[in-house]
Amino acid sequence: MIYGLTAVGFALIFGTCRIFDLAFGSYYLVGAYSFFGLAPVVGNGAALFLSLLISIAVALLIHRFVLFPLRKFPIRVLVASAGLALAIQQGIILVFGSTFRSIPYLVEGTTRVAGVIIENQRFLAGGVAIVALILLWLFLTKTKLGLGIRALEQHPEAAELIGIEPRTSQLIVASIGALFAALGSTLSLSLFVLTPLAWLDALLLAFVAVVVGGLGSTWGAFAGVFIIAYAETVVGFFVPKGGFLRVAIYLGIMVIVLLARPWGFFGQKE
Amino acid sequence: MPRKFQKPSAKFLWLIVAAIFVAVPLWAPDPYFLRIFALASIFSVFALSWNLLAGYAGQISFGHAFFFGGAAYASAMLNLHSGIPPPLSIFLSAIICGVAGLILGYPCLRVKGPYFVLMTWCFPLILISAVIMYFGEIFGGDMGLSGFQGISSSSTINYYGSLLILALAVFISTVVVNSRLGLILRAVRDNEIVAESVGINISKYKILIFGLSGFIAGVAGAYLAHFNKTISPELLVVEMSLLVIIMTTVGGIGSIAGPIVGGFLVTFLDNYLGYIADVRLIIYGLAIVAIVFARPQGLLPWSPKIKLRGLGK
Repeated sequence: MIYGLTAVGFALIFGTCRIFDLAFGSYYLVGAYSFFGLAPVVGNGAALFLSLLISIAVALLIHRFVLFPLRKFPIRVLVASAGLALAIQQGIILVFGSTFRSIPYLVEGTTRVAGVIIENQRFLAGGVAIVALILLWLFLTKTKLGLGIRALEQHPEAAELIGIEPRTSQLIVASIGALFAALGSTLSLSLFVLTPLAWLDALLLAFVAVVVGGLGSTWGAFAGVFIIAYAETVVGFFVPKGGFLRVAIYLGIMVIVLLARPWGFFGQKE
Repeated sequence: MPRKFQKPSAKFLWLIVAAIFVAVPLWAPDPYFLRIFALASIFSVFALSWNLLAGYAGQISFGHAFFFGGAAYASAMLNLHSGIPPPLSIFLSAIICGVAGLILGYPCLRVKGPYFVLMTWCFPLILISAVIMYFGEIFGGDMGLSGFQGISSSSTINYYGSLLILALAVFISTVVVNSRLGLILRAVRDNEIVAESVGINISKYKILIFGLSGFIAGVAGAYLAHFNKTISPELLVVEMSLLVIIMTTVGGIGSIAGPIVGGFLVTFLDNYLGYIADVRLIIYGLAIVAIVFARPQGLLPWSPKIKLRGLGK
């Protein structure tokens, strides 16, 4: 569910701008680490707000000054964003060290549901994810800006012709993407551990979700996350030492989807 | 197009460079210095292999560490368990990598653009998680493997060995680039649809070059394994795949001198920036952004201006 936020953010950037942003994992990482750094200083609520802002700011800078000017050159986008991702990863190692960290819980305590103990954090994360997705859906279908962005997704040239500014749109999309990534990381990483390499996992998951769900289909990415999360859990449960096979499962699913149905489960055949 | 290398003056330049390389141990017998030189040659071979695939065929692989690290493991295993001497095990593991490249090339090259990046990105990670970690008792897991034979105890011979594989890689690259195959690959890179419409079986050539590139990367990786006498999953991590992209892009993608210049530059920086090792990836990361932005053809003054756009839509 929470991974879903991250994947939707990535799908949005990839789908609307056709930009394969490898620095996307960095927004996820920056969000989590600024929350980690700020939470003891300014308290949880303010830290959450600030870390979302920081993450958006990073995304805006990267998109405005690097990725937007390069958007017509996909290979250069890939190489440049990979370089940025590496630099940010190393910057974080420099500041926070490379040891495992855990983010403080936003809400304490656990609740018993049908005999299973669940941390309240999970409820919060799930709730925020649902609200955020509903808001995104409203934005994309009900506002003029959102409709413009979807127009850009479907037909870039025509959208530009009727006066949709690609730069503004890309920056808006990038901010939403970063917001979702940072939300995903700050909400979920207190349940797991945080390392400077966490961006790779997030990026990989987002990739695979986008492929499984279908290129350009924002909701497909969300469904894609569910498919791979269940596959991962099932294999992790039934196969001994299945935890090591996680990446293999991702790729296995992806290869099968790419070969059998390259446009994904929910995408449109091109 | 990179025709400049065929001019007599360029040939002469190559000869001079080669002579300097051969003479290095004579004026600098310091083992540490020779070691860095050898490492630089090995990484140049790796960069050349990536360049063959990316610069000439336009297939940007983000997982070339698969062949590099894979060959290192294959060669180490062959040497440890079957006692095959290093030169032969290097060759055999490179062959294995080439065949793996041919096999993986089939699913990989059916997809394009970002999907290709994605697929290649995953292969080394799979190798780490599903083979090296999963069968940790055999492959050493996190700790890696050691205890297999080195190339030689003499650093001079180690150096000449690395020079030999560099020469081999340059030779293969030059032959491929100047052959009909090279022409076809450039056509595929520049406009796949046109290439296909004039009757070129593009999948066949893409798979072929994938295998060849895997073979060369395999030579480099296997040599490195015996050069260092120890290997670890570090050889397969994403940074390793990105490093080779950085090297090639810095020097100049789509030329033969470019990856070598980049390989030497980055390796030397790596070793002499030791005391600020923590910031080195930041520097590389930002440098690569600057280069991609301002000089996408690389730092070499004569690198060809290939269009780096033929990916995706």
